[in-house]
Amino acid sequence: FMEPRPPTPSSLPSKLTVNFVLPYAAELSKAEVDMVIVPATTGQMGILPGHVPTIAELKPGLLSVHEGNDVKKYFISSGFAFVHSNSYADILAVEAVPLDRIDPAQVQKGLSEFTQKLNSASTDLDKAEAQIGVDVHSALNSALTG
Amino acid sequence: MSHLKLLSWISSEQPFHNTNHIFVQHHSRLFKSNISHPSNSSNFPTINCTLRDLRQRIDSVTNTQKITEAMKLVSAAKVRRAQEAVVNSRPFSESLIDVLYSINQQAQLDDVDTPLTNIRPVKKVALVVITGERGLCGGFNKFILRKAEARIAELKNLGLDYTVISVGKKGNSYLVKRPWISADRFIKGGGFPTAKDSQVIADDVFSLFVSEEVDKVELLYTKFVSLIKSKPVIHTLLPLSAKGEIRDENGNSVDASEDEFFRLTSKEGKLAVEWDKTTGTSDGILPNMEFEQDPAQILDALMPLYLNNQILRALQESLASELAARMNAMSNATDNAIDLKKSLSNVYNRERQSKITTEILEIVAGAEALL
Repeated sequence: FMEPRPPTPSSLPSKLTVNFVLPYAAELSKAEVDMVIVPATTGQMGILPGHVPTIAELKPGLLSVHEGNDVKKYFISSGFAFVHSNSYADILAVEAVPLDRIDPAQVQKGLSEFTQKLNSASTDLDKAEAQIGVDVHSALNSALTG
Repeated sequence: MSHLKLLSWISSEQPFHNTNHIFVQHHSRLFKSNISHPSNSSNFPTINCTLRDLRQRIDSVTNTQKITEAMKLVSAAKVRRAQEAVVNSRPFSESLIDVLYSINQQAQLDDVDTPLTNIRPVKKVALVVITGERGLCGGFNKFILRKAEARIAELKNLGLDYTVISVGKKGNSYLVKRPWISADRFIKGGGFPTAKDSQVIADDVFSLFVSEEVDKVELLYTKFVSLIKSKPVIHTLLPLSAKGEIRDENGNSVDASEDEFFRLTSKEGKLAVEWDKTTGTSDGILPNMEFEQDPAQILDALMPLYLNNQILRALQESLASELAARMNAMSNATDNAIDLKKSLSNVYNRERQSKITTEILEIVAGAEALL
């Protein structure tokens, strides 16, 4: 039921069409925006109209959608970003929350909790779990402040 | 009638009301025994003739009808939500399929090896059976369990070993009562399926497959065809292969006859049976697609996500079918209750009227006797 993408136009389109989807809902569907910044594992990546086709894996971090002077920010847990040749971007996130729904106090608490767990972790499994917790919470932290 | 007159003649000395009292009792007893036959000529073999019993029965049927009607309405509302959930999860799985396809194409040129696409000769199969939580849903659980038993028999015939992972209370209790079916794990379902629930199953299945304990994983769930029809299906979950069949050591195909393969480019219809098979991005395989990370890494991360998504979809469809089945069952129950109430009320009214007639006759006869 998703229509096939339109063919590659000859000239650069002015807007980027974004499909931002989650496993249980479509957050943005064919939204025409100016720019999207995604947190790829290799760092923050900005996608503008006319971007070369790319596949990128995303790490937990801040996703921002820029439309004119509007910026919508989401925190995503992880996912993938696919940019196609006709300025279509599909962003798949496993979990995404708009930034204003995150409580900074909770984030701080979680961060200190996991840092503590990391320091007191004995087995490799515990260490790995604690490390993941620390990563996610520090990403949340920087997303809230940055 | 003759010995009634005799009675009144004998007791004519006694005060009027006493005579009447004995006379009425005697008379009504006679009439009662006569009445028992005509009402039994209605369709019920064991109608209890006392008015009070009938009234109690009518009340209980009315209560039952109210409950079944409420359950039907609740299920109808939930079915809609369940369908919406399935539809909402579609863009995600479609985009995932899209990219998986194009990456697969590219990855075949490089030598990428992912554990989940590993095709081995099959010795043991894991069956993930998805059933419901509660009863009162008609034949829903029975159908899927029957299909599971049939599949187990098939596998036994092919000489393969199997293990069952059961999701849902009904399936769990079924398997617990049958210890001869080897069951691996019992997973409790409940409520609306979320990614967390499907993650539990996905982890289990993943570890079983990767550790080579099982060589094939099949998902048995009920596919939602329409509000009044649903179908139990078998879907091969692992190994993820684009096409081709999975064979056992002797090269015989071990797939169920109506298996739905790992479909890279198909979408399944919803309410009506519309199968809009868009051919995906068959033209969109871009040879110059840039990979931010190593394709192997990306595939590694994509596959579990795809697995998780498949399981979530199956859970959602199963829930939708269960709710539709419950809605139908409760609707039938409500109709039956209404019919039963109607016929019971008929019998009750006839009883009541004949009792009134009796009393009138008695009064008349009593009055006549006095004359």
